[in-house]
Amino acid sequence: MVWKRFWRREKAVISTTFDDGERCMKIKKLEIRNFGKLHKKTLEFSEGINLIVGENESGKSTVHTFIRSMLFGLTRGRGRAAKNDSYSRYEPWENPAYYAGNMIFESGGKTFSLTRNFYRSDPKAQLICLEDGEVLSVEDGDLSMLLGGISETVYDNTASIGQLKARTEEGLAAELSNYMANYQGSSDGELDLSAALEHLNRKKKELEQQKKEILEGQEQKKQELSNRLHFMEEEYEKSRESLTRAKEKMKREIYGEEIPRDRVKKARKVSFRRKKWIYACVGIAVLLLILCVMQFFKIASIWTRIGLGAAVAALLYLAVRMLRHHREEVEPVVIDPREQRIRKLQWNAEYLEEELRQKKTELSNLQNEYEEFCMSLAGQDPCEEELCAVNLAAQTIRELSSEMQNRIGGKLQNQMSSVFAALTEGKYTKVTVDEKLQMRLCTQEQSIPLEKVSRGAIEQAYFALRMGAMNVLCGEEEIPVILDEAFVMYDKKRMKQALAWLHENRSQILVFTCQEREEQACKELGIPYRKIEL
Amino acid sequence: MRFIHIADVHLGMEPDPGFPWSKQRGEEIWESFRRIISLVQEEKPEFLLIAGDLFHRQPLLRELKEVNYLFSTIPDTTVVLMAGNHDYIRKDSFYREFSFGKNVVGLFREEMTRIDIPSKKTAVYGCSYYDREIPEDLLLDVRPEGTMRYHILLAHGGDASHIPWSKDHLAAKGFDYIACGHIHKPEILIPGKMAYAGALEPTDQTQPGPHGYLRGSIDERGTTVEFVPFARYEYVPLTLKVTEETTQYSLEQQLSRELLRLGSEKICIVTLSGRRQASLRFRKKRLMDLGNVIEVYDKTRPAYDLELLKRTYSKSLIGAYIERLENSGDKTQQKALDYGLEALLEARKGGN
Repeated sequence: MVWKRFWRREKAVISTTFDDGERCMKIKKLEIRNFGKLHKKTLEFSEGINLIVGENESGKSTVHTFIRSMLFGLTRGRGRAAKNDSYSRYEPWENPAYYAGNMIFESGGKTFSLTRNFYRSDPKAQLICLEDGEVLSVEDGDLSMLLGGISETVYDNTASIGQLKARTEEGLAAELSNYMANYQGSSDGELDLSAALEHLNRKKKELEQQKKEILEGQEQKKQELSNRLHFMEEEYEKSRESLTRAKEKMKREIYGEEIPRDRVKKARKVSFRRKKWIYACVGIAVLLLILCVMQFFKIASIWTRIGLGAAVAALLYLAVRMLRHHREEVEPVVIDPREQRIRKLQWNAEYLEEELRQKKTELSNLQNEYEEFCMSLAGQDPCEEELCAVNLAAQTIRELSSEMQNRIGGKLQNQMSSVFAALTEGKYTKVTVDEKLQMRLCTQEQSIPLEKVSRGAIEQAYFALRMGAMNVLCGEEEIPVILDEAFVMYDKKRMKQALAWLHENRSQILVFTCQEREEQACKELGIPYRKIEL
Repeated sequence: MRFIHIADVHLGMEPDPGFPWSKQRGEEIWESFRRIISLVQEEKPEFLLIAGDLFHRQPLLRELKEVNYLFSTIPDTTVVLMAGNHDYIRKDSFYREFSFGKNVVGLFREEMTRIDIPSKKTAVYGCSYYDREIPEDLLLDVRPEGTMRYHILLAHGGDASHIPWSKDHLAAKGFDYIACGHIHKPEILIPGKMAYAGALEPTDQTQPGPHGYLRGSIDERGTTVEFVPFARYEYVPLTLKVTEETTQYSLEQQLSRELLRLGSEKICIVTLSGRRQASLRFRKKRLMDLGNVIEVYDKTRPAYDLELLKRTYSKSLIGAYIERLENSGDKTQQKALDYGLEALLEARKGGN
């Protein structure tokens, strides 16, 4: 497939260059089958000036759009949902699937037939060379090649001329200045570069706002965490204090001033009492031993008997006392309210200590969470990529624009100046644009700011710009010039100058008009023309 | 001999902080763990293996008590426990002095330890984290030994800063099963030998797909292990296809329908793809407010036909702009192309 295309292109290039030096495209015939309000309408054109005359609403702009659509198609690559596109404006009222036409045109000495159906679901284009019957391919760019690579935008900006839209003279001057500036900066007078950059700037601000909101949200989350952390720290402190207090209280309870003395006395008493019993036991045992020895030596006397009786009585007493004492000793430990208080305080302190350790762990967990959150924020910059992209877009547009300015700006001014000089028969010699993008028209003697010249002169300057641009952008290739009510605001003299220039310099001119003035002017100039009534 | 293997439960964590369901998810993590205990009560496997990170951070004493109580309800099952990098044994850790019930075996030593459980003819091996990271391969020299019949290794880690082991090297050592934790995505590393149980409940949006536990058994024919979905929540990637006809409202409706279909226990990661109407930007916030949507990635591109635009605007700035930025794999450049083109086309008088 590729080699075939290549071969075809080569062949086409050869055939166009074999022409008698003049590379131009001419429309011979239009057959509007179904387009907007027009059906089965056939229009034939000649070389030179063609006047297409019709009342308002007779379909002049429909024919104009039809030509453009035949050359470049109807979809413009912005997606189906793009509003206000030509497609829906010129969609036939009846039978929308049959949205079609044919164009016969001449290029490089050969005649071609171009047939299109614009129907969205199934657009078709067929290009046939009528001389040799070769079928060419529109999709592969054969048509574009026959048009010398002129794109739809270039066509809109050069060959197809309407009126300036502004109604006042100042507005007109400003519009033309902008147009020129846009043109020099982008090769596209319809593209308002500053608006595009402004659009990007707005987008940037929107993104910065979004970024700010995200950052604020994160800051808020961080603050919440931090608040929780502070709360936890306070809780921990409180818990620690109450533990310290509990411990002190317990110490006081155990070693405090009054109670210890009491306790010490009591303890001493207890130990003394215990010792007393031991002494008593030893005493009784010694007494019993002496009595036994006396018995052994048979020293029987009344004393011995009394002593024995006393010892037995003492033993009995001891046993009873010890039993009673034992009962006394167990009970006070359980009942003693002081001891009980101490024990309670001890439990409380233990509980608080455990509580404190838990709080400490909780606190350190929360600290970890806070640190992790802060770390997770550190690595990211929300909207960064989007902001980068918007900046890159604006930067690229500026760069390309200044490149274009350098490449075509000067050339365009020269070409425009020479057309303008020819149109005004040498009255003006030059068109200049200053740094503030203000256009000035120069005569031999002086340079006049655009706003100071007449409306007619501005219109002429606009026309000169278009034609100059055509010379710069279309290069060798020439396509038909289409003027859509372009002369409405011209006086007769200027209109004649323009028509004469066109007759001299362009091969095919289509003038759409609703007036007889153009015809009158041609007659007076003695220029041949073809009149087509719509 | 049967076992249930879980890991990375992350008790105490509240996933997706800042989202309305976060607290509920924190509850569900505890609930899923309780459900695992009830499951063990029913199935009565010999072992419940918990391969680290049972807690998201340092466990509190009351949390250990709660867990220990739950373990006491499955007295016939031996619970094998270890500390991972999240609940590592710090010097003030409650793990240090807490006494677990009789059926709990804690691999709480810093160095590799073997503990024999003669009643189940099994030896378990493992060690605990004493720091957030262990950059050296502690498992290099461990191998099955002793007189027990079955040998199970519990291992937490596997990435560069958490015991960077080689799975083939480990698998060649001859353990009957190696129960791994740390990586939250469940994965059978070597069938019948070694597996990550994955997080019991997924803990963040990088873990889509079902989560749960591993059920296994070891007998004379070898080890079998299977993944069982068990988590209540699941992160679900959801791609919504956008066309030129899609509007903000129609997209919201489309998403609402999907969310309704998925139910309230799925958390969606929404990706918008396709070609949108050029000037339309979808509002993420409104989409996220429709339900459990944790993130919206807008990967839609404006419905420009670049070839056609290039042809239409050739030799002018728009054409040059497209040529300058197209065909670059760079994401920023591609976004710049879309932003710039939108601005340029918008700035053409008459809008077309």
